[in-house]
Amino acid sequence: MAHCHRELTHAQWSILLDDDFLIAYQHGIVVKCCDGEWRRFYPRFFTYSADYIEK
Amino acid sequence: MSILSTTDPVSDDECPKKRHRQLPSRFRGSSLELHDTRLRDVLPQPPPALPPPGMGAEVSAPQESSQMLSSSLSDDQDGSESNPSRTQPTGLASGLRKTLETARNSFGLFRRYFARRFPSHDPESEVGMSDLSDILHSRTECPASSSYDPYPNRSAFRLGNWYWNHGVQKSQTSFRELIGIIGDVDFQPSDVRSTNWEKINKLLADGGHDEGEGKDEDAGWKTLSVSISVPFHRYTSNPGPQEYVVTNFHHRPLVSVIREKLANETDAPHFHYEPYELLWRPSDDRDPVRIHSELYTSPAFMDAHNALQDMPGEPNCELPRVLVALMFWSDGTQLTNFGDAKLWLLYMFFGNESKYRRGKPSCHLCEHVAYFESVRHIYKLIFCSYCIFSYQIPSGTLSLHTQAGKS
Repeated sequence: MAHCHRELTHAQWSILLDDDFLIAYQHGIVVKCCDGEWRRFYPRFFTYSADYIEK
Repeated sequence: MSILSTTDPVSDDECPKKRHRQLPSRFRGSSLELHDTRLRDVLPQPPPALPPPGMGAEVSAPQESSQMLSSSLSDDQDGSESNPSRTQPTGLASGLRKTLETARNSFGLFRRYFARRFPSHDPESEVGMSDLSDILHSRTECPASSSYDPYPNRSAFRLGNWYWNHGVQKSQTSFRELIGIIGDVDFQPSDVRSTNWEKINKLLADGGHDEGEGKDEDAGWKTLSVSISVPFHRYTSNPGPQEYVVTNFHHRPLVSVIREKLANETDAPHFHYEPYELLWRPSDDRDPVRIHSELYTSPAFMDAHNALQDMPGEPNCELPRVLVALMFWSDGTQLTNFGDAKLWLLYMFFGNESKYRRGKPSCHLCEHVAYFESVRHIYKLIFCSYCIFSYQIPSGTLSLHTQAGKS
């Protein structure tokens, strides 16, 4: 069961961290902000607070 | 009687005669001064404002102990990086970064940036008194008439609330509640006279009435199937790994959540594009003390931001590079009191926003990103197929095993 939990969680996270996100992580995404300026945004993970779903 | 006589003086003591008391003369004047200035009641203040744009270079206060600066300069310069006021380009966009400090506010707080100039966008200037203190805020809080939607006004809403939410049977309690509603001074019979109750009840029943955070709930959501490989041991009749597919993985692509956030005009003024250090120096002769507060004033954010500025950028791109700090929360949520209907949600917050705004549900800053599927949903399936191949089981055993799956 633990194996299934872990596999399923990781499979779902691999969908969340899709190719678009990985490209954005490496190269940033260019967005025109509401103040009219263009900026290049890089997403970064800071916290992940969660129960251990894999258990 | 002797008891009475002894108690008389006591009752006299309890009710002393009224005396005309006056405040001491020093408190009577209009210009009241506190003997201790530390006891003054000072209203909260936002961090000090940035100097006007264009003045960044003049106001810069170079610090000799700037680690970020020296590390970014030491790559291709010799050991003389202790002079941070120079502005030779180092090949990197970050080479021109300086230590910029704002003036102190009345609490001795000031901001320190490591950048070429002060940011053009200052979320702290958007902070008002209502964001800093909830004393003033609670007094002025008055829901707009639209917040009773689909009910047209407060009186209609309270009647509707009584009808739907206060039990299905008449009771003394519910009668008193009804009397309380229509006996209220705010209750206006004219408000409910023209209310179209059938229409409102139909709206509520249809669930077609979306408001606030429920609005656009379907926007950007995707549903994908997830397949995992489940190994079966060699004593089963069908050993080896087998694919199992979970079909309903609801999620929103992270990139689209971020894009939506950055384009949101309500939240954009409060979104911090650049981190800074918040420091406290009560007087000029004391060393500044770092203040622990927000994520965008934390060393972790600062380090990540500096690493981002130092890394080689995209070719032919001179746009400012900004960090989007993602913070995830995830937990199982029980949906019903009975039964095991359960959701495993993934929430996301942006660390570029103040924790005080993130903590307010009315700001709607929490993003739902995904609803994790649990193995429990496929457990039964796996177990059934397992049993069919191996041996016949009595019906009670299956419920036992699903119990085991829960634990």
